Amino acid sequence: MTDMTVAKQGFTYAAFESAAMTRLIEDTARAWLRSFGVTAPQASQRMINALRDALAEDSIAANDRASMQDILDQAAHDAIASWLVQVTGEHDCHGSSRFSMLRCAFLSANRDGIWSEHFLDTKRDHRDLGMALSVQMMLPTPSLVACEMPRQTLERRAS
Amino acid sequence: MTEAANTPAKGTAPVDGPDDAFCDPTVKLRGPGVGSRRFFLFGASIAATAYAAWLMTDVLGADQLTIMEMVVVAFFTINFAWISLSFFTGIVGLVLRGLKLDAITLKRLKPIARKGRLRSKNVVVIPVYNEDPNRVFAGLRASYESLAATGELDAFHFFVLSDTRDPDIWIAEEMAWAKACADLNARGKIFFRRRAENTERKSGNLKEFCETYAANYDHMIVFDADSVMSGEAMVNMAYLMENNPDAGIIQSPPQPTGRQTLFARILQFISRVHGPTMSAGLSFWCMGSSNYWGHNAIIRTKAFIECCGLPVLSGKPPMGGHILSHDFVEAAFMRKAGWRCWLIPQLEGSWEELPPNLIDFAIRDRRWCQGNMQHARLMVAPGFKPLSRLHFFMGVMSFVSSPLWLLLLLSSTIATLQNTQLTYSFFPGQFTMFPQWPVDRSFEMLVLLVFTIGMLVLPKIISILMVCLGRDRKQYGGVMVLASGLLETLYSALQAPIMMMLHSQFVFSVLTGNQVGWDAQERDDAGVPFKAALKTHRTIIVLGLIWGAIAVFVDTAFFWWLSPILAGLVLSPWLTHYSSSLAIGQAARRMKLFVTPEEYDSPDELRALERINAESGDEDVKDGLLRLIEDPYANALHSALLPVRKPDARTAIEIGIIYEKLARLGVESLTRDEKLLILSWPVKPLDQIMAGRDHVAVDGPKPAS
Repeated sequence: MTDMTVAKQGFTYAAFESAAMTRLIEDTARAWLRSFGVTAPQASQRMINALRDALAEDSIAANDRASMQDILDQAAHDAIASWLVQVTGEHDCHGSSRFSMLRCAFLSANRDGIWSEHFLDTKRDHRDLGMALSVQMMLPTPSLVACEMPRQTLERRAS
Repeated sequence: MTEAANTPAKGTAPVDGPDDAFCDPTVKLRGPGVGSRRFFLFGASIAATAYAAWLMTDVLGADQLTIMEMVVVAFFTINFAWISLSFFTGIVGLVLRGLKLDAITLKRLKPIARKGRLRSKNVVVIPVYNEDPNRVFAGLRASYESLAATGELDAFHFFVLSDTRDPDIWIAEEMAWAKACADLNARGKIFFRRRAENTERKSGNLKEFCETYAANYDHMIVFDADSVMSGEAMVNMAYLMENNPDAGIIQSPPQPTGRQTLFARILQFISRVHGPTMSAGLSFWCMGSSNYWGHNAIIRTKAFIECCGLPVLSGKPPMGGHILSHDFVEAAFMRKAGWRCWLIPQLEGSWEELPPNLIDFAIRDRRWCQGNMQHARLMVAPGFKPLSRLHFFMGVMSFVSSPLWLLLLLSSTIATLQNTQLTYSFFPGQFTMFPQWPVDRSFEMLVLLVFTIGMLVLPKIISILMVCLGRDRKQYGGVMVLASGLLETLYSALQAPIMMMLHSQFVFSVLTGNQVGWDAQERDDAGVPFKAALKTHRTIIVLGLIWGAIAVFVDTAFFWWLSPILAGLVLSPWLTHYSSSLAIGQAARRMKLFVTPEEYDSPDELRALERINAESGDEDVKDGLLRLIEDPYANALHSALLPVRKPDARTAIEIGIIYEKLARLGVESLTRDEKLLILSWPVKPLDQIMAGRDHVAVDGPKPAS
């Protein structure tokens, strides 16, 4: 067992966690934290906890997943997206593009590492971070207004 | 309400509606005597051509015209008509410039005085294909900063429309876009999208934009990858559009600038000195039937969407298939639907860049030649306005005039050869006591020569003199403008035969079914090594030497007559090599040769461009994939800009194989297509790649290391 908190929440699961699984969880957490430019140990612990929670609660349908790594990746994605929903007050943080944009915004806002400790902390007040993210949010395109551009013909009248 | 709502209904000719009452009459694009202007111009051109043809017939036919001499007269007449139209356009332009008259209204020229703020929503679109992202975004940023200074920034958005197929440039474009948004605090004002399939090249790129985002805007200003425009120019163009509801396109005359090689500086100089003359002349007789040059122009979006979807020509490329030179055709369709297209010569603050050397210039011409030759088919297509047909014809003639000139020279050589073989008959035909003496036509020949050369160079010489005598001659190098003009005339005389041969080759190549690819233009001050120039021009040199030998054999006087042409051909590698030199270009600048106002006192926009270019000069366009693997921000940005979709099973397997290759052999082992394939989906970070995971991220991005 690596952490008492985990023990409290998922003793049954954690007690049977193999060394290989512990390593996989820690590697996954580290990779996701790196992708958000986060180095704070508290954030790392929160991520590991989130992954263990997901496994313990068996909240992820494993039957359509190719590997344990995918299960952990999905769990990490969901945990971060849920936290971003809380931070931004928006509900569409799970989608691929939106999630990536928020990742960009967080990386920009957290260039000095000032928000690292906030990462995945659901108990804090995140209004300042939410503001910082909204300032850094990128918008690649304006709203889509689909219309057809008809092909002209080389006939007498304009079509 | 935006003014797009007030444009005419689909397919109907736009008419002045009730909104005219709210338009600013001081910027109304109207002018007197459109028919008279055209009558004068074409009448004068036809009269001059008829006189020249008569003179030529008189000179050659003094001792009866042979068949070959008739051929010479025919080619001469066609070529002269072409020169004549250009001459009278120049003369009209000179008069307008001299009297400081507006080419459209024929009233005293005055700057556009806007009344109130812009009401329309505008977008600056920059279609790019494998261009240097640092240069593209430097131009965008310089224009953006200038626009911000006008206080009308809220009326504009910028949109980079990428068609790039180079993986490294693709990633660099994304990073440059994000940096521009962050540095200029322009999130939600500067947009970026990359097209996954680049069908129909640039026109397809714009079409896709029109079908997705363009309807958000009343007008779009189309930039080329190397365009820069001042904020004032962009705002004025939008203001003109707002106040001329029947205008479909308003074209600004872009001034070439920014290059330092001798070749480019010569062209920049003469374009700056003589370009405004030709623009004024063209605007005078084209009026609302002017042409569109593909960039640095503003377009009414709704009209463009409704009537500028290009047809696909029957048959195979190069003469059939998708239309390559789309700009002329779009203007013609606008006119066909009743919209007006204007060229506004006094719209300053519009710049573009030239190819740095003759070879790159010729490569660009080869591409344009293929596009313009397609227009020969459109010239006779029903429904287009007569002036649109004329624009098509002029586009075709800008290349076909070269083989016609070549044929004229060749037929002249053959005719001279024939004449030397003939013995003169003093008693032709019938028995008579009075001999028929040979007629001396040397005076008429001289008149014809002076007349032709005068038509070719007189407007240019007067333009140079006007600048020399004008108040702002200091901006052109002071009195050195005369030396610049003289050297330019000499250079263009030597270059003309080279271009004649190259264009003839291009036309022949297109007519025999050969196509060229689609590449980005060289936009650095690249020189041409002598060996490369020699290799390119070897055929021209050999032809020049053979032709010269024949001319000497035929008649020494004829050889001297041809010598300017032959000199250009034989000296072509030296001309190409030395004119591409950056050092000579800069030395000429120090000697105040070929100076332009943009070099003398650079406008804010060009200074900004130079500054931004210098700042971003070191930014790497290489190793895009590696950057995504290593840099979390680049990785996240790339994922965010990709369309949301899932790969099919086959693609997922292909991607897995490429990742395995990447893990085992490194980034260098991947081909361009392999890189493009994995870049089309969220990219795995380094630790995932090294762990050998073989699944593509589909529901969300995989974390970057």
